[in-house]
Amino acid sequence: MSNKTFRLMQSLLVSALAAYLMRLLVGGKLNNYIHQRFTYLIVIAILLLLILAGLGFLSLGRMPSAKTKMASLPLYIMALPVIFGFFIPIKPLSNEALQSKGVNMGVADLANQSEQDLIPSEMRTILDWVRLLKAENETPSFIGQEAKVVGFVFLDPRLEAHQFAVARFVIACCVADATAVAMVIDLPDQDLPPEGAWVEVSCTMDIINVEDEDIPLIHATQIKVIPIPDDPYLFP
Amino acid sequence: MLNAQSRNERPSLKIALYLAPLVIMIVLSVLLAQHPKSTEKWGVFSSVFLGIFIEAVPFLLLGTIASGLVEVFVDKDKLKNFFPKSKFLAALYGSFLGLVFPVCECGVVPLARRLFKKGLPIPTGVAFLLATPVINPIVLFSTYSAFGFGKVFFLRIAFSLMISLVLALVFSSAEKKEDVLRDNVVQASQENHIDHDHEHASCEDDHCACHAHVACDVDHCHSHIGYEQGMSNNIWRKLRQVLEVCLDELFEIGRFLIIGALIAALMQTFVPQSMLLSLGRGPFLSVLAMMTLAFVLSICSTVDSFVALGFVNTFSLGSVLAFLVYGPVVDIKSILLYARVFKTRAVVWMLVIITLMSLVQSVFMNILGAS
Repeated sequence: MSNKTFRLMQSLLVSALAAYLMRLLVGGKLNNYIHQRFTYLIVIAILLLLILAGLGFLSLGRMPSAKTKMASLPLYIMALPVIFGFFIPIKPLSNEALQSKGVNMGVADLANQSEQDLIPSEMRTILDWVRLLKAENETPSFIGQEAKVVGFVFLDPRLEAHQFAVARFVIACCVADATAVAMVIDLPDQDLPPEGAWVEVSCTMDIINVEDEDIPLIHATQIKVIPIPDDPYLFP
Repeated sequence: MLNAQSRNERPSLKIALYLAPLVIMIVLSVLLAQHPKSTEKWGVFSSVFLGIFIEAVPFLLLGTIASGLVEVFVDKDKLKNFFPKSKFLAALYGSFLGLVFPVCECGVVPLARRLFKKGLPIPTGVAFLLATPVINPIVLFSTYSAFGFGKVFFLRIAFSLMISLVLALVFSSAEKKEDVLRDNVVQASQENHIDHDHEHASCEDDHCACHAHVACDVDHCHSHIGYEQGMSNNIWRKLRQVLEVCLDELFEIGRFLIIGALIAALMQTFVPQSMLLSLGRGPFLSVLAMMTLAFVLSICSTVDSFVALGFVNTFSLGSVLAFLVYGPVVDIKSILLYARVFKTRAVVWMLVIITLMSLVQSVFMNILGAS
C-alpha cells in the first residue's frame, strides 16, 4: 500500500471511530460499555479523533509519493472496533454472561454502603437493596417495605420451583469488570417469566436464607415484562 | 486480461482489493452475531471487547499526544542533561516522572517509547514505564478515593516503587541498549532524525527539504521554517507535526491494544470468573487468583481501585494489593504493548521478575496479617 493510500485509510478509519463514539454519545448508549463518569473523556477523544482525521485528509494533498510500501495489516486490526461497533447490534450483558461472570446472590461487596436508606424504597435498585442487607443484616429494617426493581430473569437451580432471581450487572469501570447482583423473587401460583427476559417487579420485601447467605426476597405483587432499559447496567 | 502491472495502474481496483478484507470481516462478524449457536457468546465477547477498547481510547490518545509533543518539542541533547548519572538516582527519577506525565498503562507505552528514542537512559525509562501506571496524580487520587490514606494507598505506592526500581536496576546492567530495546528504538535514539520507523507515514511536509524521505529531519525542517515564515507559523507547523506523530502512533500502538482487548474478551467469555476466584483460598493461592484476575480483566489503572474495592471483604489485604500492584503493569494488552518497546527476551524477564516480586510482596503481607 502506498503512503498516500495508507494515510487515506488512516484518516477514514479515525473518522469512522469518531463517528462511532459520537453515535454512542448522542444516542445515550455509552453506558452500555463504560461507566458514565468517563463521558467527558469520550468527548475529548472524539474531538482529538476529529482533529486527527481532518489533519490526515488535509495532508493528503501535500503528500509526496514515497516508494516505501506501508503494511496494511495495522489498518485491518484498527478497523475491528469500528466493524464491531457499527455492524453488531448492542446487546447488554444478561443471563448468558452469568456463566462466565458469575452472580452475587448475597451480600454485595461492590462498594461501601452509603446512603441507600435515604432513597425512597420504590426508587432503590437491586444494588441498593443488596447493600442495605449488607448494612443491616442483624435486624433488617426494610422488611415489609414496598419495592419496585428492574432486572433480567435468572433461573437459579438452587431456588425453589416457585422462585426465580432478578439480576443486574454492576459496572465500576467498563463492561470488563461487570459483576452481577441478584435478588430472589417469590412467585407462588404463577408461571415463571422466561429466562433472560427483562422484568419490572412490584413487591414487598423479605429475607430468605440460601446456602447460609441472607438474600433479599421479594414477594411479587406484579410482574411486567419490559424491553431492555436504556441504562441496562448499574453504577456503584 | 489484467496482469499485476495493469492492476497497479488502476486505483479503483486497488482500493477494491484493499476494501475486500474489510467486507469479509464485516460479513463474518454479522454472521457470527446472528448465528443461533454463537449469538450469546458473541454478544458477551463484543461487549467486553468494546468496553475495554472504548475505555482505553482516550488514555491512548493522550499518551500519543504526549509522545508527539516530546518528539517535536524536546531536544534530545538537552534531555540528556536532565538525568542523574547514578543508575539508582536515574531509576528513582524515572519512578516519579509520572507525577509530571499523568498517563495510565496504555498511554505510558507510546510516551516511554518516544522518550527512549530521544535517548532516555534505560533505568529512567524502565522505572518510568513501570511506576507511572500507579505513581501519577490521577491513579493516586482514585486509590485515595476508594481506600483513603490507609495501608492500601501507601503499600500500593511502596510495592510499585520497589518493582520499578528493581527492574530498572536489573535492566540497567545490560551492556548495550540493543540487549534490551528493540532495534528501531535504539536506532532512533542514535540518530538526530524523527522516528524512522518505516511503518509510519508522517513528515510528508512539502515545505520540508526532505520530502524525498518517508520520514524527515525535524530539526532541519524547523530551522528552515523559523527563518522563512516566522515564529507563529513555526508553532503551527510544529503542532501539525505533533498531530502527525500522534496519528501514526495511534495506529502503531493502538493495534496491539486491540489485540490485547480481543484476547481479554475471549478469556472473559470462556473462562468462568467464579472458577478462578474459587481456586484462590489461602495466603498464596488467593494472591495468585487475584493476579490472574488482574491479568485477564485488563482494566485501566486509573479506575482499578474501584474494582479492587469489591474484593475487600472477600480477599485479604495482600491479595487486594496483588490486584492493585500487578494489574497496572502486567495484563494481556500491556504485554503486547511492551513488545513494541523491548526485545522479546527482555519482556519475558520483565514479566517473570514482576510476577515473582508481586507474589512475594503480597504473600508476605498475607502472612504478616495472619500472624
